[in-house]
Amino acid sequence: MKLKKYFLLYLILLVVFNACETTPTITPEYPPILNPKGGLFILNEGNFQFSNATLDYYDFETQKLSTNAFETTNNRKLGDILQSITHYGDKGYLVVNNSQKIEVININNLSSISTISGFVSPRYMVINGKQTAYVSEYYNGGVKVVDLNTNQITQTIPLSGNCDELLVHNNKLYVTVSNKKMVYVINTQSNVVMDSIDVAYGPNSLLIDKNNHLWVLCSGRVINGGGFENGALQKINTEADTVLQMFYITRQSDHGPIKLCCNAKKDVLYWINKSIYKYEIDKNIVSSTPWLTSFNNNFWALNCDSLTNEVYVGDAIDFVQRSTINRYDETATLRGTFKAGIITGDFYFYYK
Amino acid sequence: MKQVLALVGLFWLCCVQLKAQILPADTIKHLPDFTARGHRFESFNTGAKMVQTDSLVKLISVHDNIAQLLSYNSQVFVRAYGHNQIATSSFRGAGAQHTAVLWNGINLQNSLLGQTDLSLLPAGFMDDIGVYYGGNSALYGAGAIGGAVMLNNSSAFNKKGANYQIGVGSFGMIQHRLALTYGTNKSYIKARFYHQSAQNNIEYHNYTLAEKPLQKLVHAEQRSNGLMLETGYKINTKQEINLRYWYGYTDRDIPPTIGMSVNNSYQIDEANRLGIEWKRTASKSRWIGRAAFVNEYLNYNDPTTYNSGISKSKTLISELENTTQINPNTAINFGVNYTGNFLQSSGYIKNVTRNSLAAFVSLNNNWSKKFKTTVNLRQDFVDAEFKPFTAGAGADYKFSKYISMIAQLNKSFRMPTLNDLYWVTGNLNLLPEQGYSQELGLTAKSTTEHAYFSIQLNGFNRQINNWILWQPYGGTWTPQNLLQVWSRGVEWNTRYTYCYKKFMWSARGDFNYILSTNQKANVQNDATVGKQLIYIPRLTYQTWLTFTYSNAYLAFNQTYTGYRFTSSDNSSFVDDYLLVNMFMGKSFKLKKGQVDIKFLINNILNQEYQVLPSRPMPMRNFLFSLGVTI
Repeated sequence: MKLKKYFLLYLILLVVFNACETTPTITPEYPPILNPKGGLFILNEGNFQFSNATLDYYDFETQKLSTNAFETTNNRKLGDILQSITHYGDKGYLVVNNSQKIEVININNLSSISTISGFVSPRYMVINGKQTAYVSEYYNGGVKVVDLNTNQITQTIPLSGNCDELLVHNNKLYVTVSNKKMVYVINTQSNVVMDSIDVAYGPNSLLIDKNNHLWVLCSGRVINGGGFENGALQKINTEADTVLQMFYITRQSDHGPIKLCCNAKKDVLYWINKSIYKYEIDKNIVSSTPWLTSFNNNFWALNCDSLTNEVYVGDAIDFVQRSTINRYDETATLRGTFKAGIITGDFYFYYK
Repeated sequence: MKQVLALVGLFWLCCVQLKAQILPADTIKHLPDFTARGHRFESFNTGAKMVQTDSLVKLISVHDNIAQLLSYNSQVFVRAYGHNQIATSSFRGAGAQHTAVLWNGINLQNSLLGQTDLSLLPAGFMDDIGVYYGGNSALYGAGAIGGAVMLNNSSAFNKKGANYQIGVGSFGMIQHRLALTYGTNKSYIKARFYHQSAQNNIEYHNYTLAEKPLQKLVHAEQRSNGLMLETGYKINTKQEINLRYWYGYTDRDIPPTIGMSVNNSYQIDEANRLGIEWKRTASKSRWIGRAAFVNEYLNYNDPTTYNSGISKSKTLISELENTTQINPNTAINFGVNYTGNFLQSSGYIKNVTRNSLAAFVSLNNNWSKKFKTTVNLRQDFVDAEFKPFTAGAGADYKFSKYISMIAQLNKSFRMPTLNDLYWVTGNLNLLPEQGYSQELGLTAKSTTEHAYFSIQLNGFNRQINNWILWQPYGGTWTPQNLLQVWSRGVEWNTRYTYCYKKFMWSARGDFNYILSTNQKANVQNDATVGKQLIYIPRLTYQTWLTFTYSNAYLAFNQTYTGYRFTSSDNSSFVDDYLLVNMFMGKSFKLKKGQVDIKFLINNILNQEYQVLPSRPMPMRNFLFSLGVTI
């Protein structure tokens, strides 16, 4: 019977075709076991509008990486663009930029505690005292004040520009504005802008060194119609909020100098400017020779282990595959390598 | 997979029962629709796999856009960014820029982006929709590396009529269509209007929230208007002229992806397309002259991020071709084409112009009754520079009445888009992409008094060199000729049609298995070599089961789309999905004219699925349509 044969063939081919298609195998994921002494949180931004941001956890003792640790713990995805993390006590705060929210987790087991919403484009969060946090808004400018007891936004400090990294020091909140040439200074008692510091174009990261000086890294920019404006590294006196030293940095890539970090002693600075550069704060010359050269790498994450002084470098490669993470000692000798999630943007070393 | 097999079982059972009811049989009335349209794309395309949309699908899809139609009725993978959102096509593992969309021979590929948003093109405006698999730049023109979608309007001499249809569907969708035709033996005028509005407030589980609650999509509203005006005139017995004007307007809110809480952006697309076609047909020679002006306006605006852009693109096309029957077994086609692109965009340093000239020639040879070949050659000159010479050769050999073989070899190319070249961080040094493809197909078919049966098996192999990719390369986000993509696959198509008096039933199965991999590492640490390109499914298949009796029909369609990787190292993917749709309708003859009713259920299994990550697609939904024709 012709018809029967035809459908038999149909069925056979269907089975054959289906056999070709197996569920792709991916890196197995399992709920992470967090080391009580602490470990490393790896923040993977993920792709814009894919909601594939992930949090990885690396245990130094077992040298085991738990990928996608937030989802495996909480049985839901983290969201769109994991920008930054901070913690206070046992609580960790994950700023998920394009999900317009902050996830509050128990930093000892990653279980979700609550979600703070009401933002437009949150980027960074800093905690001041026991119950107040400041959150920078990239679009729609300004800094939002959050009451950490209620997890509610209580106030908006309006600022113009794309507010980026934040730092609290001496009762002052420093706010970088990545599309301007200034750092705002806000009085944390009154939450009112008290001053602004003129810096180079595009301040994007900042830290306090061992001498209580503030360091601000600026990206510079491409000028519309041609040409570049250089980036810079600036040292700022935190008493008077004046610039003490300024080193211009030639942009080596379209993002310019970004991701300033320092070693445990806070006397050596590192940043990404396509390659990775290092500066010892007691010297007065910023070398134009990279500490670690990029060979078509797309370095996108950088931080120092505050215990071992090892430098962790994340290479986002083509920005649509898993990042490669390399560990280096202070002489830029490779100590280890592993894979993290898509677009690793930051490393957060958490020790008790 | 269990679901699939269960469904196949049902399918089989239906067939067996049906067979028992309807045997024995009488005369054959329906055969698949393969009528010749006289375009060179069809007549000088020996060895190509060309599939025309059959009349039942045309009836079913009248309220669809081309993207929706292709997603359930072709072997093209349609990348939909959401329900009624932007949708592009991937032929045989190629990219969205590798599809030529030809409207009456006029290439609608947007010069700015190199791709066509198929969701903006209403299927009901076309009289004929064809899907031509495989690249053939020498015939279709630059850009056609993957394949071509053919949208054609036909003339309406001696036809008169008026038709109004209303479609009311889920998610606040309402669509009005009006078509008026008046034709004499000398001239005709045809007008079609279209208006659609939809909330598109589909439901999805938000997997970034605790308990993954079911939510309604917000900010997804859409409004579209369209007009197609056609007129034709027979100058004398040999000459005919057709003029067509097509206006399209779509205003869409862009919804948040799953994980975003709000999205305030919107997009407005407006297009004016004017085409004129002159034909002079003598006994052994035919001249066709075409001229077209396409004016496209795109406005994307995101009030939150202040990201916005307006781009205006104007395209001027003129083409003259001749087909001559040299002797009974040899025909030649040759011609010239001019295409001018004029672009204005807020992201550009200056306004951009591109002038392309092309000369082409094709030769058909019938070596015997069994053996036919075509050779296509084309040379493009872009801005006075020679671009890759393209060539194609195809053959068709009939072993017997039942079995035949087709084969094609092609070299194709695609110019970098104007966006690739002239965007602020664009790259003026980009080379054209070049594709080399080979294809072999075997067809077995049999026609009996009541039944038609065919199996077609096609295998293809294609290499695309200099594939352009935007990447932060050398520190700047810029396009580079980075990838070398190897695509290969098999396609298997079957048809079975059985007719008895007023009754017909048919079954159809189309299967694809396609690997499309990058063959070249392009940066340090790159883990993409040998990996499937992102958003390209390996396995897809479609089956159809249709029953028609007199003026009524019932059709089932299932479409399976396999896993699509979302990362270039294939470390993450979106799930596969199986969609089952049901269509039914009936026409009632009146004294003067007729009334048509249609009822469609899409996604009967209520599958929650995404074509692209985090962009939800509709679960079970309905459409009711009422039409009056006089």
